[in-house]
Amino acid sequence: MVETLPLRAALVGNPNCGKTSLFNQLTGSRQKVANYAGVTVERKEGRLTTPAGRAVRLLDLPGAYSLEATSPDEAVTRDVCAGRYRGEAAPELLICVLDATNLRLHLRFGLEVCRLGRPTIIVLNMLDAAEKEGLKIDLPRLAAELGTPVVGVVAIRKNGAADLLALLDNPPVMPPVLREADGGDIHATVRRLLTECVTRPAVASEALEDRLDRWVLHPVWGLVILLALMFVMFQAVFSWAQPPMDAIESGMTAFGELIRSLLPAGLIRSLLVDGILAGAGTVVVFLPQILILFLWILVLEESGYLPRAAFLLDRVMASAGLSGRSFIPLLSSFACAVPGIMATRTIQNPRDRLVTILIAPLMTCSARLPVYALLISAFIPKRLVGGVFNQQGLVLFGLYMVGIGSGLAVAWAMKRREVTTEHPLLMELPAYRLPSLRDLVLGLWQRAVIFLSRVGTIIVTLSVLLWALSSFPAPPAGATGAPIDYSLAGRLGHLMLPLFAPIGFTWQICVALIPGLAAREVAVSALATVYAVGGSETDAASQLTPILSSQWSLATALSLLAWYVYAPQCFATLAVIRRETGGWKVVAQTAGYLFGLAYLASFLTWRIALALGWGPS
Amino acid sequence: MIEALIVGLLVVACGLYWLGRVAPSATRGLWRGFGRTLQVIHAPSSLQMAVAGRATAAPQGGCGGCKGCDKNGGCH
Repeated sequence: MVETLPLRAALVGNPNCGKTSLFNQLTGSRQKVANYAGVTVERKEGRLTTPAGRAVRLLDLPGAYSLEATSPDEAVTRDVCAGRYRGEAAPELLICVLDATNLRLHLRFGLEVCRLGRPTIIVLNMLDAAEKEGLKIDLPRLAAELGTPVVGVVAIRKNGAADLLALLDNPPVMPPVLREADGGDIHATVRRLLTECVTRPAVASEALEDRLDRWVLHPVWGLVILLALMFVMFQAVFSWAQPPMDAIESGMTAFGELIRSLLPAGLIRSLLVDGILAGAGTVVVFLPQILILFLWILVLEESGYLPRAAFLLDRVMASAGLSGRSFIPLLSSFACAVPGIMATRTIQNPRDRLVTILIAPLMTCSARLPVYALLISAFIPKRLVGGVFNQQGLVLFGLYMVGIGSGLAVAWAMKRREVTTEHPLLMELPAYRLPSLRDLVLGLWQRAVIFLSRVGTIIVTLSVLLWALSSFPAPPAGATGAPIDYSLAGRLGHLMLPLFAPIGFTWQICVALIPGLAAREVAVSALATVYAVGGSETDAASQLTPILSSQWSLATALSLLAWYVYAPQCFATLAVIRRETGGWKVVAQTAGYLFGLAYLASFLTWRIALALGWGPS
Repeated sequence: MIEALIVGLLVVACGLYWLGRVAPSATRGLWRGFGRTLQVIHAPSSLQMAVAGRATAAPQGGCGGCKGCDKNGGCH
C-alpha cells in the first residue's frame, strides 16, 4: 500500500558514523561528508521513495555522543528526537546509525535512543570494514536483544543501503522492547551485547593503522609531518597550477582579441573587454590554484588525518587559551569562514566558541588566494630557494602562517586572564581511509561550480558596475588628465586617498577596496577593470600582473598583502557571525578589530618596507 | 543611441541584482511596482506571474554561489 503522507524519519548516531553518507546515498543529496567528527552541525532535510513507493522525509541530524547534550549541535539532535525543536514535529521513526567497527562506543548511544520509546531502526554502517577486521556480528541476535530491527549497510557503496530501503517499506511502528538484564546499567548492557553478539579475531600483530599513528601522533615527528604536508601543499598551489593557468590566460586573451575584431570601438566593446572580460577573466585564471588547494584539503579530510592534526595541535591551541576542539572550525575556515564559524557549534564553552568565531576570519580562506597569487606573481621572482623550494610558494606559506599566528595571538590576548574551563580534548580518531576518487572528483567539481557561479554573478555584476563608475561621467572638453580621473570611481578613489596614503595605497587600490567589501577576490577583478578602463587599449585580463609590477612599488604590494591578511572584507562572514551570535555586537567587534589590525599591519609593513628601500623610486 | 540603451539596461540590471542582495525588501517593492505596471499595460500573463513571484519571494539563504543551504539558512 502506498502511503499518502510521507514518513518522517531522522538519522541519529555518534559523530563520524556515516549518517551523512547514508543520507546522501538514500536521498541523492550531496551534503558534505568527511572522515572526522563534527562535519554536520545542523539538521538537513531530504526526501526519498522506497521500492514500494512510500515517500519518506528524512532528517540528517548532527552527531551526538549522548542525548544529554553538551554543545549547540548536540542540542539540535536532542531537541529533534524529543520533539522540542522549533517548527519540527517529532520524527515518527528514528534511524540510529552505528559504526560497526566501533560498537563499544556507538552501542551506548544506540541504547539511549532505544530507551526514548520511539519506533527505531538500528543501522550498522561500515559492515565491509568490520568484516575486513575479522569482526562477526550476529545481527538477528542483536535485533532480538534490542527489541527492534537491525540492518547492515555500507553507506559509501552504491546500493549499499538496499536492506534499509526495503525495511522502510514496512517500518516498525512500536518502540523497541529492550531486554533489560543489567539493572539499567548502560555500560554493563554494552559489554553483554558485545560478548553475546560480536566475535572478534585474536589480535596477531600491530595493525598498520597503529604503526602509522606511532609516527603521525608523535609529539615531534607528528609536527614535522604536519608542517611538511602544509608546506608541500602551498608549493603545489604554485608549481602544479601554472600550465592550466597559462592556458586559461591565453584563452582569455584570444577571446578579448576576438571581441575586439568583431565589435567596433564603442560602449559595448568597452563594457565587454574592459569591464566583464578584464574583471571576471582575471579571477577565472585562479581556478586551477583554488582546485589544487581544495584537492589537498579533500584528501586530508577523507584520509582521516585531520583529527590527528587536531590532536597534535591541542597543546599549541592550549597555549593560546583554546582547546583542540577549535581546530576543526578553524581548519574549515581555510576553505571559507562561513562553514568554519558554523562548525564552532561543536565547542561546548560559550567563551571559547566566541573567541573561535572572532579569530576564524583570520584563517586564510580560498577567496584570498587570487589576491595573494596576483601580488606574489607580480612582485616575487619565480626562482628556487636552496635549489628545491619555489620562492613564490614559500611566500604564500608565510602568509598562511601569519594568519594562523595572528589568530592564536588574538585568542591568547582575549583569554589571557581567564581560567580555561573547556574539557580536555577527547576526540575519536577515525580509521585511515584511502580517499575515494569519485568523492574527490565530486568535491572538486562542486568547488569549481561554486567558484564559477561566484564569478558569473558577484564578480561579473560588480565588474559591470565598476566599469560604469570608471567610465562616466566622461572628461569635460579640453581636459588634459586621464579620462578615469574625471569618472565617479576616479573621484571616489582620490577622495579616499588621504585615509589610505599613509599605508601606501594608490587611488586605484582605494577604488578596488569598495566592491572588494562584498568578497575579497572581487578586489582582483576591480583592479583589472580600473586599470583596463584607465589604460583603454591594454588587455588587463592577461596584463594585470605586469601592469602592477611596473606601476606599484614592492612596499605598496606588501602593504596590500598585509591588509588582506586581516581585513574582514566578506559580507557573508559578517552575516553568519550575526546569525551565530544572535546580534550585531559581535559583528561590530569583529569588523572593528580586524579593520584596525589591517590598517596597523599595513602601516607597519609600509614603513618598514620604505626603510628597507623598497618604496617608490 | 541603441548601444547606450543596451549598456544602460545592463548596468541597471546589475545594480538591481546588488540591490536585491543588499536590501531585498527594497527590491520586492520595485518588483511589486513593476508588476502593477505590467497589469496596466496588459502584458502577457506569464510575464506578470513571473514578476509577481519575484515580488513575493522569500529572502534566500546561502552565500555567493553556494546552494548547500537549507530552509533555516544553514550551510556546510
